Amino acid sequence: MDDAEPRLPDDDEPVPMTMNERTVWAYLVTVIITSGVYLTLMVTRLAGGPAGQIAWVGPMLWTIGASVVGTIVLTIAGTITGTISGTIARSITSARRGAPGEVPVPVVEIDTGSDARDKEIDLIGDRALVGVLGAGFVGALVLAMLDADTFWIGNLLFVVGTIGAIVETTTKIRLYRRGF
Amino acid sequence: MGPKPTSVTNRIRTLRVEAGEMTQAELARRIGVTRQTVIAIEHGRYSPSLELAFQIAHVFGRPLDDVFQYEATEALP
Repeated sequence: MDDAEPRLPDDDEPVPMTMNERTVWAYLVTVIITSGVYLTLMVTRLAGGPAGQIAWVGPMLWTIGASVVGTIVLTIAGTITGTISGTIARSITSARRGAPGEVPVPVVEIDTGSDARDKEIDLIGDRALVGVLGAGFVGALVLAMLDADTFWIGNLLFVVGTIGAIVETTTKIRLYRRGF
Repeated sequence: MGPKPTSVTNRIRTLRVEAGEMTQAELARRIGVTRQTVIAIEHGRYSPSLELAFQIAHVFGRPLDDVFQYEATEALP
């Protein structure tokens, strides 16, 4: 049997997320989970003793590492799941069109990686992130001037980074879904 | 779907039909973007850059204002 030439999808076929949007979703989910775990741990430790005695550097480094790895793993998992569900949906559509038993022609969904729209969305999202980070920078500076414990300075920056990531990703998702 | 966030409308859907039922994926391939971007443009959820707009017009062999129209909400001074 000849292998069928892959074809481009028709307009009525399922539209998967682009790789960029999938990565944004993965980043958002990962940041919420990892930062949530870290901050819960810190609050619990704060209740048990003074801030100056709390070990926070190790857990924070693990959290940042887990965020990076988690985003990559979730993006790959999302891609695999999307591909499988897309194939199943196309097979069902093909069968409904009156071609039972016929092997569906493989569909190739062109993903250019990052096209013009992705780049514009990235730019707007990054601008939102910079605004949050700027506020955090001022806050950290004030804490340093007040001679605050490094726990508070480090964790303020972490919280600001987390808020920034959430603002950045939700901004991008809104642009992907609602347009601009 | 909510209101369109852009005042730029287009006739891409019609032009695709006139061009022999060209699919969104085929148009996307020819202008080097994803199908999702073509869909967003067609539905008025994304105003393409001037360069991308020209590329789309070029695919259909039409002048730019045959493909895209701007709906001004108020009179210009």
